[in-house]
Parts: sequence; C-alpha cells; structure tokens
Amino acid sequence: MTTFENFRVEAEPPEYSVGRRMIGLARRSGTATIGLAVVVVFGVVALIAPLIIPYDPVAIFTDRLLQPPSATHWFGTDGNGMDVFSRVLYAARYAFGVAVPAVTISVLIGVPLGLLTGYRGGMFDEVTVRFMDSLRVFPLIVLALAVVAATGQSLLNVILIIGILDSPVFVRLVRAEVLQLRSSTFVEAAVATGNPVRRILFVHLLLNSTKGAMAQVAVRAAWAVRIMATLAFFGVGIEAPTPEWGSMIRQGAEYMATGQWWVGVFPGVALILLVLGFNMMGDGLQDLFDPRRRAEKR
Amino acid sequence: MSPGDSILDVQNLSKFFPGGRGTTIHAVNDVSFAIRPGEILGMVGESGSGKSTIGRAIVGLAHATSGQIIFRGQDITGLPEKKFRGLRKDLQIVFQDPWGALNPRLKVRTIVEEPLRLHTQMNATDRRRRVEELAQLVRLNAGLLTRYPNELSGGQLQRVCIARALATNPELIVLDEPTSSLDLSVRAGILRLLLELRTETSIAMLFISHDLGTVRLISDRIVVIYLGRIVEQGPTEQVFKAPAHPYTQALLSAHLPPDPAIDQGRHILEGEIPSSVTLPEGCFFAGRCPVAVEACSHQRPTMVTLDGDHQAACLRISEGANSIGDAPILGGPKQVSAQSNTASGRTP
Amino acid sequence: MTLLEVQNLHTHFITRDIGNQVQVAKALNSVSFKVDAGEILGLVGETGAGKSLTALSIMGLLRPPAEIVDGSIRFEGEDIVAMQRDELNRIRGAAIAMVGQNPRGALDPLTRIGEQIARVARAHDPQLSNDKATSMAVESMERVGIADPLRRAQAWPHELSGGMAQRVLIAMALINGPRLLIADEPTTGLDVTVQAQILDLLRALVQELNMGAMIITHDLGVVAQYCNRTAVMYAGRIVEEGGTRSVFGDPRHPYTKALIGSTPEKLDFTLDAEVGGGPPNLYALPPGCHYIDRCPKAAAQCNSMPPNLALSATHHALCHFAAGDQARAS
Repeated sequence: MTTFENFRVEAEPPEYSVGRRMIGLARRSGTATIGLAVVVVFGVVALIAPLIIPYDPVAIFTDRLLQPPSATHWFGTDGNGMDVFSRVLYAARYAFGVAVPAVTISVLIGVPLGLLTGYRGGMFDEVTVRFMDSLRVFPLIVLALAVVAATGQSLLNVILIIGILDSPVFVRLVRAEVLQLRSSTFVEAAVATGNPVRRILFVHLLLNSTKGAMAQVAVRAAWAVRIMATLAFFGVGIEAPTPEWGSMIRQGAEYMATGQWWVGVFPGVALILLVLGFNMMGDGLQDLFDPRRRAEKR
Repeated sequence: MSPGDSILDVQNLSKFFPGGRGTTIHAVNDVSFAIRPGEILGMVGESGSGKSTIGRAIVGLAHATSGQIIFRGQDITGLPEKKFRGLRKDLQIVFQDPWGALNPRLKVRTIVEEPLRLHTQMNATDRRRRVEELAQLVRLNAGLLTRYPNELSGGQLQRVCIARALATNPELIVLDEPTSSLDLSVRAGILRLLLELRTETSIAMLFISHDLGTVRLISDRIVVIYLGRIVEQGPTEQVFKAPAHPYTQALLSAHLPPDPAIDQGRHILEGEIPSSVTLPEGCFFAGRCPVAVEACSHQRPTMVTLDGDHQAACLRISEGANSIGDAPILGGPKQVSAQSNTASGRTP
Repeated sequence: MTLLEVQNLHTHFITRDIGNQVQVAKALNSVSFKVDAGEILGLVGETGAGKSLTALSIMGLLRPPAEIVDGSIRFEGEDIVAMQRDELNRIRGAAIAMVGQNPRGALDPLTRIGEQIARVARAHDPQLSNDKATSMAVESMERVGIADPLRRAQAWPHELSGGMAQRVLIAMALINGPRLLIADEPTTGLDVTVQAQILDLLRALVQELNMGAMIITHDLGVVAQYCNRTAVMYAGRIVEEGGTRSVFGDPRHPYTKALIGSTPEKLDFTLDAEVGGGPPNLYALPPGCHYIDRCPKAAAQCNSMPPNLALSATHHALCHFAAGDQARAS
C-alpha cells in the first residue's frame, strides 16, 4: 500500500532486495555514493594498513628529519623522522577503532533510554531530559577534554567518553519517535493483547522508532572521529607517538610557519576526507530510511 | 437480570477527563448495562458520545472515574495493568483503524501468534497450527501470513486483527467501530465473518458503532447512547421498530437510506450535541428535543421499562408524548407511544 | 446548460521508486462526465477509486507526483487543463468553489471566521474595501443558516462545532458567487443528525442559486437522497452513470450492483455472493475491464476494453454485458 496525500493505492510498486535498493539509491544520490566509497576506502586501508605501509609508523629515522615528500617518503617525514605516509595510513585504524565502538556505545545507551523515557514519561523522563539538557550547556569538546584529563589517558577512556557523551543524540531521536508512537493504535493493541512493558519496548517500539537513529549513525561516526582528533590535538587521549591524525596535525601546525607543510597537511586532508565521507554517507542513509525525503528528491 | 447471568456487568460507570483550563469533560456519565454470554450487544451513538471510552474502559485501556466493571463476577475496575494482563486472554478488543492497529514491522504470522506466545504454554508447532487455524477461521488466505501489514488490504488487515483477538478463545470481544473505516464492499465481508463467528464460537461481543444499519444487522440487543449517557436499550428489532426516546427516533430518521425510492420524511434535529464540559441539568437531550417540556430541563429522567428488556430514559413516556412525529421510521410502524409500544413493537 | 465537462481525463502518479525505476500508478483512466447548472451530481466509489483526485484535477490542485497526462476539463467552454496559473486562479475559489472534508482543519486557527471569509472575497477583488468584504461575509454566513452572523463572525475556529465549521466553509465557498460547487465528502466527519442539516442546506443552495454541484462521497445514502445524477467510480473509471433513480433502481454494471448490495439495508447474508477482493493494482491494471478480477460474470471478452453502453439517453454503463442484462430482465 502506498499513499499519496489522501489517495491510497492498495498495491505497491515492485519490492526490491536490499542490494537493489542500495544500487538504486546510489544511482540517484551521487553524494551518498561518494561518501560510501570514501568510507569504504578508508575502512579497507585501516584493515590492511600493516600490510601496505612502507615503514613502521613509529620507526624513527634520525637522519631524515623533516624531509619533504619524495620517492622514498611519499608524504615526507616529520620532526621525529617518522614516515608521514605510513602514519597517515596507520592512523585510519585508530579513527575506526574509536568511532565504531564509540557510536555502538552511544546507540546501546541511547536507544533503550530513549524507548524507556518516551514510553514511561513522568518523573523519570523529566529527570533524564533535564540532565541531558544540562549537558548541552557545555560545549561537548570542553566536557570531553575535562573528563579525559580527569580519568586518565587511555584509548578505552576516549571511546567510553565519546560514546557516553554522544548518547543523548540517540535518546532524543528515539524518544521523539516513541512519544508519537505511544498513543498509536498498534501500541494500544499491544497493551490490550497483554504484552509486558519490556516486550512493548523492545519488540513493538524498538522496531518502529530507530529509523531516525540509524540514519544518524554515520553522522555521529563523523563526529566521533572529529572529537577524537580534537582531543589528540590538545594532547589529551591518545598519546604521541601513536599515529593519530589529531596529534599529527598538532605537530604539523608548529612546522607550518617554517614551511614544512607536509607534516600537518596530509593528516589534515585524511581527517577531512573521512569526516566528509561519513557525513555524505549519513545523508544517503537518511534518504534510505526516510521515504518522505526520498520522494522530495525525485 | 442478576449479575450472575451476564459475562460483563457495567454499573454506574463514569469517566471524566481534564479538559484544560480547569474544566472537566464528562465523557461517560453513569452508564449501566450488561452483556450476556454469547450475545452481540450493539452500542450506538454519535461521535463524542463516549461509546469508545466505554469500550476502552472495559478492556482496561482507560480507567473509570467511578462505577464498576464486573467481568465474570470479578470487579476489574482500576485493576493495575500487571494484574489485568492475566485477564486479557479472555477479554479482547478490535480497533477501528486496521491500518494503524498492527505493528508494521512484524509479519502477520507473528502478530496473530503473539497472544498465544504471551498467554499459553503452546510450543512453536502448536502455535503454528493454531495460527493457520485462525487464518482459516477469519477467511484469510494462509499465504498472507508471511506478509507484512502494508502488503494487505484494509479488509484483510481487519481480519488479521480479528484473528489476533480470537487467538486465545476470549469470552468477550469489544469491537470498536470495526467496519467504519472500511469500504462498503469490504465491510459486508467483515460483518458476515462476525456473524459466522458468533455461530461457530460462543464469544460475546460489544459492537460499538455510529452506523445504525450495521448495528441493526449484527446485534441481538442495542444500547443507544447520547452525551455519555444511555437513553434507550432493548432488543434490536424492538428498538428499531418502536424507538421510544426522542433522540433514538431522530437518529433513526436522520439515517439516509441508500435507495432513492424510499422518500422518508425526516426529522432534522436543530443544533448539535452540546459540549460535555458543562452538562445540562436535566435531560441531556432537552435542548434539542422537539417534545421537551419545561420539566425536562431540570429533571434527570430515569430508565422506564417499556416492554420486557426494552427501556428508555424519557420523562414524556409516561404521558405518551415521547414521539417526535408521524413520519415512518426505517419502514417501522408509524407512531410510537408508551401505551401502544408493546403492540407496535411486535407489528411486522 | 453544461457547466463542467470532463473528457477523457487521465491523472497518473509518476514516481521513481527506491530501485530508481519510474513507476506509474494510473489513478484516473479516461474519466468523462458533465455537470449541468441546477443539478447535483453524486460521484461515488470506494477508497482509491479516484473520486477526490477527480476533484483535485478540476481545481488544479494536483501536486507532484500527480499529473494530468491526458484529457480536458472544460468549465463554461474553457479548458482548465490548458490554463495558465493566474487564469486558473481567477476561476477557482470564485466561479468554481470547493468544500472539503475535515472542515475544522481547513480553517486558519489564528483568524476570526468573519475575517477568513472576507479574505476569500478580497483575494478575488483586491479593490474591495474591508467594510464591504466584511458585510459580504456576514451576508454569506446568514445565507448558510448561521444564526446571529454578526456575532459569529467574531468567533475563532476552535469555538465552532464540526457542523458549524462546515457551514463556515460553505459560506466561504459561496462568497464569490460560484457557478459550480464541488463538495468532497462534505459530511464524512459529521454526526448523523448534523449530516442531514448540511446536505439539506447544500441542496437548497443549489436550487436557490442555480449552481451546478458535485458531491463526492462513499456513502450511497447521501447520493440516493440528495443527488439528481449518480456516477459510480471504480479504479479510475466511471463504470456507470445515470439518473439516480435509474442507477439505483436498475444498476447495470456488476460493480454498481455489488456496491448497492453491500449496504446494510440490502445485505443478504443468506446469499453466497460476496464481493471479495480489493481494487486492482493501479501500477498494473488489467488491459480490459478493471473489475474483471472481482466480477462474477467475467468472460473472455472482458479482457478487451468494455464499451460505454447507453442504456437510455442518460444512463450508461461500462460493461460488455450491460445491455444483455437488460434483455434478460425485460
């Protein structure tokens, strides 16, 4: 059944497999395709980085400090004499290694909390929403900096903090959907059928309220990559000499004035590309999950 | 009739909602009726008459402000959801909008199976068999069980809803306007199904509707409701042939027969249903009633028994002045009055 | 006098699906009918038959993905389909007015109703003074039976009951003296006792003002009691059209028969003939008769386009067997 305004067609155009849908979407949305391609390329690089990098990313060549790009060092070397090309590639592992688990944590916290606050309402909802709103008062980056500084420098901490701090996004998205669904007939019918609250939340509501959240996943991944890089830029979180774009940009910034541009520009470009890729992919995901947006884009 | 005879007894049920700015909406006002085992009770009223609220209160989706709902001798008024859940296998509801009443992300099979999963100890094979049996019972092609709701038509979806309600062999089903949002030709199929179900099972039904024609077809007895209050109740044919309350008469005469050859003189009521925020002091219908007298506006009428089960709440019945006109009503007898009621009720 | 003549109207929904394929839902397929001054045409059919879409096509209110792909709509001889936007704007809301369902949703919640009605008058005559427009609004309210119109003009939409809101919309439709009134399910959301009030009003206005009117409804009772002529729609086609008494008294298309037979008054559960199934898939319509899959009388020839058989000067049915039945009946 498809509906055009108030005209109901009790039949549907042919259904497609997920694969066909993706292809169809790809053909229609150039941005999404490019985004997906960029993310996939970075993903593959992250996976096989150890196999393709020419040098150990933390190997120091004391005789080759700050060399410009050349045939031996494609992206040149940095102030410690490390190969920038190998480091930029290897750092993709950290980007994905932080973004994927962090977003997963956000989803795992945000979705159930969104379901519960939306369905239950009352004091619990009130307190949760107020708490989340109060978090928004501080710029998240400042909060993240403070928390990491307080809890200690470790990759795990960075992941946890990004994951937890970003979970309100998912709480809000899911809660908004649930608030609308709560009074819908099928939820009432689920109550009348005798479903316990747990089943209403995790069967009936979950399946119908996560589209918005899922569409946001790629965008939040972009955010996680950015935050991680920012933390590293300030020297918080992942410590040098671990290959990480943020800290590399930080080092590069110091050499910018003296003309050794390659130290900072290459990791910067990599960071921008991946964040852009995730965001463009997010745009496509939103089209995929939201038929209304799809219709508008005809 | 003693409470023991009936499967459901609603006594003095009232339901008020806060109406904003400190006002109160009196949705249901002191309603009492009973449903006998295996019976189809029709509940007729216009929108805003509180009929759906009554249905929802019965299945525990709304909590009564006062009064009692007694199901199988047990007072279920205000029962907390945890305790109510145990009763739900015997007390089911079918909603008006079949497009909205089914989880769009679950397959039809899963939807129909759900009550079995929740209320019985059946294993997967037995559940599967029972679902197929139910599909057959509601005349739903078994091939549709593997589909999602948005692939089915309105009529098919309503059959799925009925199958889900029937799954655990309930004793009472509340049908809240089950055919109102369906197309005419589909509606007929659903009504036929409900009538067949009545003979095949012994499930009692509360059939809530604003459509007189439908209610007449399906109900054994009917209850007419106006502004959350019962104005008349009785065996269907008796009420249709000899409506005693002026509102029932007006309602019947406002019905448009789908046949241009029937040119009925209609009694068009003036005005509209008053607001349920400030209820009239006397008879709720007094303001629009063509036969109202002074007393009607300050004295609440009580139920007057006309003939056996047939009762109406109108002050003017005792004087025989309750008829709003001479026009024939749905092909029934010409004039209705208290004295002639017994006789006319039986006139063919 | 023929006010409106719709000929061969095709309105389709043209979309690109998620697989990036163009999909065409053929919602209206060669719809033709006429409305004369002083008469009420009833357009009946079930969900998705294309009744409202016909009205929207006439009013030029189609929005993508809906598109008129063929046919003409002539209002007083002028083809609306070919008209420019400002030309169309001159006609709609003035010479052709429409009353929709959900009257309360159709009113601007932040404007007093008198002002809203006056606004429609000023939209078509910018030179109109405020006072004149307001007095026209009050006059129009009076004409639709709103008691104490001067005071009511100051009311806000949320203070109105459903029936009163519908009267306000009718007053709004009448203010520019329309020659054709299209009422799309004018009483669907209203109570039974109010429905009759509104329909009586519409009928009286049509006679009084010698307008042409089209009532779109799924309720056979409304058509039977209020319309001079009846057109039955099924899957984007008018399958039967004629005088109301003729169509109801002697329905020739199997769908019309089934529809009338499905009304609670006519429903006979002892018969086994059940109108099963839903409307056909508009994305893949059968080549001939659209009713073929549900028709008890379907035969091989139904795979070809049925003729619009004239049963009398005014009664037509789109069925190969429409005349055959007549022979059998007499």
